[in-house]
Amino acid sequence: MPDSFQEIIQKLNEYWASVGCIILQPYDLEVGAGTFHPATTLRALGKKHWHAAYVQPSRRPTDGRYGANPNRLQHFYQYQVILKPSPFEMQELYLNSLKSIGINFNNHDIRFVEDDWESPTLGAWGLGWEVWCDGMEVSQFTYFQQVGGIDCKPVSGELTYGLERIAMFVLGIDDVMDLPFNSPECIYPMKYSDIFQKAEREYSRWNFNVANEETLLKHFSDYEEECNRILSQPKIDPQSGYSIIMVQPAYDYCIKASHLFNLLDSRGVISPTERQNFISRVRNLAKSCAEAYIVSEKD
Amino acid sequence: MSDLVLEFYSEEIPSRMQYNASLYLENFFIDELLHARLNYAKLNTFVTPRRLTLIINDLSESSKISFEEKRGPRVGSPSKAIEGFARSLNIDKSLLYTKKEKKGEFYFYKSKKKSITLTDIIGQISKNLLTNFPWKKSMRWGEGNLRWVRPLKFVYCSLFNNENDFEIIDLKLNEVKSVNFTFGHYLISSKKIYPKSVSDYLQKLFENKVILDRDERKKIIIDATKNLLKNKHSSIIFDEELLEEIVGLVEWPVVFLGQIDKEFLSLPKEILRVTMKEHQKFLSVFNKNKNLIDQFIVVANMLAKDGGKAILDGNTRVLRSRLKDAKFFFENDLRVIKTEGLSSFTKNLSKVTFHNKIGSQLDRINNIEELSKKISHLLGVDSSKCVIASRICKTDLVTQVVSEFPELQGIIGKIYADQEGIDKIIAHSIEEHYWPMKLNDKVPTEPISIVLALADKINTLISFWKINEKPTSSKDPYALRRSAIGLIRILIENKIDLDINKLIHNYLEINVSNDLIKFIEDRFRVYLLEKEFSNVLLDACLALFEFNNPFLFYLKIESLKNFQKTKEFTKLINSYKRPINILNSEEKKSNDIYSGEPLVELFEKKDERELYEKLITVEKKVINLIKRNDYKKVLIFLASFDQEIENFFENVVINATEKNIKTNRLNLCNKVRKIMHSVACFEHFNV
Repeated sequence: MPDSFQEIIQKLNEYWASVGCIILQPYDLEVGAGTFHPATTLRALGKKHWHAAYVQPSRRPTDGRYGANPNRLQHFYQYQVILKPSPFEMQELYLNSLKSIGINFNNHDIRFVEDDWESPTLGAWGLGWEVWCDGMEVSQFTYFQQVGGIDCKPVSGELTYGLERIAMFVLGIDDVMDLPFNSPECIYPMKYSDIFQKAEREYSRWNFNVANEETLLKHFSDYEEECNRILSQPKIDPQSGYSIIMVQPAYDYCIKASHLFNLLDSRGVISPTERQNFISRVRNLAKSCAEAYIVSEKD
Repeated sequence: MSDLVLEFYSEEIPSRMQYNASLYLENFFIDELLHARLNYAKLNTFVTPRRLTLIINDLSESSKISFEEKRGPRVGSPSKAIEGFARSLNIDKSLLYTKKEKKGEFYFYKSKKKSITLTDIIGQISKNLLTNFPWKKSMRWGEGNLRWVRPLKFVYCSLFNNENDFEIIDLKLNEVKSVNFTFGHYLISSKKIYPKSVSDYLQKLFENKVILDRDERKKIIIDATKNLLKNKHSSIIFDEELLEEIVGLVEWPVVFLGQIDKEFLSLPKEILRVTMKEHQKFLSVFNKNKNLIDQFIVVANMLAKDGGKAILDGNTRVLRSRLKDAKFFFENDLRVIKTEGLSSFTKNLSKVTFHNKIGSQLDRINNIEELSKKISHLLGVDSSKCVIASRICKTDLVTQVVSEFPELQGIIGKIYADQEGIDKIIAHSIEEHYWPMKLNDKVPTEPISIVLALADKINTLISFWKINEKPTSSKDPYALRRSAIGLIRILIENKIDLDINKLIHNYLEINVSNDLIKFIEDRFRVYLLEKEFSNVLLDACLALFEFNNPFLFYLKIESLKNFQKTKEFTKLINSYKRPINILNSEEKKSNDIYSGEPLVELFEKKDERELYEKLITVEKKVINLIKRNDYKKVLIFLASFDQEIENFFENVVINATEKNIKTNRLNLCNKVRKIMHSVACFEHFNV
């Protein structure tokens, strides 16, 4: 049985490595969910097989609670698995991963409850479930049907574990801040609160009241423009002479724009009509990147 | 005779789609077997989260053997050709016979058509079903192109002839295997099951913790709940929709009773119930003595080794954190109400969009207020109270509790208005103005609630018609049909005489307004057809009139329906048919309409004078009675001149030689028509 947050991550890494996944590191930009990592969004497109797992720090500015809520954080960790094509025994693989972190099926009630996933900003959707363990949502399980408005062929299976939540379940902890980050038995035991409580407060204040709207709005437009500019470059690089479609640099700016939208949202400055408008602007970037990715794969 | 088991084994089928899927499977096979002329004793379908199953008992082999006639060479052809034909069929030429056709005489051979076996037929039907199943939402998986609601693992299709004599039917699909086994409950028992008969299939599933029949699962849940609730003051709040959903989440229901922490018992019942239902799928247990919800029922899909302790602990813990959230939101709302008042929420409504082409929720309540003023004047209801109610009827949309639980809109508004000490009748109207919530739900009956409900529904319809956002045959995202039906039911069931046409005309262009009225009239028809009123009756009462006042139309239709059962009705129809038939044929001949009043001085016969005088009396009465909406008496008067009609047609020749006499008599017929048609177009009845 794991006894800490970090051991749960290790166990998941070990398990998914053992079934053939590459273990990647988090993407180095602010994202709202593990799905935004190019290892999922871009790799779900095209025909090539792909099996990867990684931890992704995720930011949801509107969920900040100054580190005072037992379940909500504006910065948390997701564990993300992408299997392309989705294997026949996807569910069995997933259930075994739960066993690997110490969930004993003899005494627990696992349920797959309909929950169709959609990311309007990524132009992506899929069908699947929330996975419940004794009434607690421990993962999201999705078969991608479209990303960036493009049909996924083959279909990727995506698993997203809310790491804090699943750790609280496995370790029997009621408040996220009380989670042991490393082993309580070690020389320097640290709790989740020791590491993140201060930052949660700081970001909550900044997200809700301090972030400069005008700067954010300006940067949003800048990033949007840069993304489009990158994709509008001619294929042939005059410097090297290679054919280079700069998909990932462009996609970085799509991710950045998406994060700024989330920040603006938490500042409460986006009216509902504008909201739709912002979402469709980010989606257009995601679509352009997806289309560029398909072309770049064919080259 | 054989029995069939066909099972589609998949990953978890969404609960809400299961029942319809089993219904479709059943109907599809009934139709296809009929088409294939196969008989059977019994056909049933079943559905669980993991499987969709069809069971047919005593399926008969197809009894009809069909023949195919093959034409060979013409009689008199060279013998080489005839022998060649026989050789191609692999028969001796002595088996050929001759027959004359238009083009001459030919050699023929009658061969048995390649026989189609039962397995072929079942295989083909199943394959068709599989590749065209109308799931509401379906998906692809892996590298395949097949679509199903969730990945389909395999198909088990077995035809049992006798015990131990069975045949596995292969559907021959690339993407899904046909197998000779199935699984039990995959989390409890992972071994393969090899059924030997239908009863063995059911037995083995049961032994491996699958209850195939959803009704049976439901009964187990209800019975177990009763057993757990020994305290006679406590009972579950029955929720059919939730129960149906739970039945679709389990193959082996195990029921637990849990306690709600004391600190949450002070929350409004509705918040507790909805939190448990929407987030956890728990049934609420109501304690009559304490008048509160203090326990819950959770149904697991697992036979736990520890007797379910971990499951119940886990669920209780999740509920605690959910209720903490709910309590936090509730208390925040109460704080705002205490310090700034409920009406302080109203200004925030300007930030909430009702629809981006229509405006904000604040615009919406401004419209509702204006309409409710008008309606309250028309109905004689206290207008100032209606205005107050309009101002606060949507304020709960910006409360934290409703943002978290949208389904509590209205209910929370009422609770908060009560907290603030607002007049009970007004507070209740916040909840009741959403009624009827579903097709057969209750309608509001308090005058303020009625006015508010009418204003809200009429405003919704007007607003969406204004931006040309109307329901289509398959899509009605703003539930406009429900608004229209709600409007109609409130008027009819509360016996409210209200001309909606006049109200609507104030707000819309004439053609748009007419279109909306037509939509409401169509809903009115649908509503009454469901209430067993006939199309003929509706056509007769609606065809000649502008639809404006649902309740009055209802009165007329209902009166006529009752009148239809009486002897008088035949008299009425008799008085109607003869003059109308003559008019119709004469008008067709002359291509003209007889619309004039008959002139007394042109009457020649006693019987036409008597009919005329009778009609004048009846007409006066009818006009007066219609004004008083007394359709029962109106109809009696319409049936009161049958004798005069009979005498008229017996003794008066309409086709008189003088043209003006003839016209006058036809105008007398028109008088009958005019009076009759002021009530209904009786032409629709065939008596």
